[in-house]
Amino acid sequence: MKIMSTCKEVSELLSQGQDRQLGRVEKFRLNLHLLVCQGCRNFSDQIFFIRAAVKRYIERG
Amino acid sequence: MAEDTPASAPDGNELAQFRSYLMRYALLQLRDQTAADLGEAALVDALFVKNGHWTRPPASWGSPDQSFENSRFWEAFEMCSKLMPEKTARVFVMREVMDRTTEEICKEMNITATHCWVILHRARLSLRSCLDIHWFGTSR
Repeated sequence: MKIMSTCKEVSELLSQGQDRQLGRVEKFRLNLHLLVCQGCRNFSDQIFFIRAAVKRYIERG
Repeated sequence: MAEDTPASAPDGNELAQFRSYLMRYALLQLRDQTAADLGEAALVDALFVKNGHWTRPPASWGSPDQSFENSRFWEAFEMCSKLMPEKTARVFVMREVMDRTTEEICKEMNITATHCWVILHRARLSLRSCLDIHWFGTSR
């Protein structure tokens, strides 16, 4: 198993993190990648923002 | 609270409204469904290069929560939500609006958990890219 995940894999894991509990190995790989990748850190923030935006959208009516 | 004042907490009616909103656009899109599906796959392809790196790494959105106060943000948000293919919109609404678990969605849509995660991921990628281009403007 390669240690470093690609951005594509990490974006998938970040998304799945919104839908299921990630395993310990997955979290480790994720955090290792995020440590060195600003693009994926931004993506992570942005999918949390999208979730919040949907909630706000409903509240606005 | 006056009856015509929107309540701050979402009630069943508002959820149904959002759902019917997305469904309506999803239905309008049906005739262009093949195009929408192809577009979705093409988007994912376009976002990453062969070695799995971002074609264009996501740039920071700064303090995006400030956009909540701007009605034009919500116009962009609505426009971007309409771009999802029908099935994607359906799954996304079940997850993000109706707060269903992946298991429940799989059962109702008769799809595997893996397929469900792929659909939700595509929905987020598409919404993210669209907001990036049309609102946050970091892709220009």
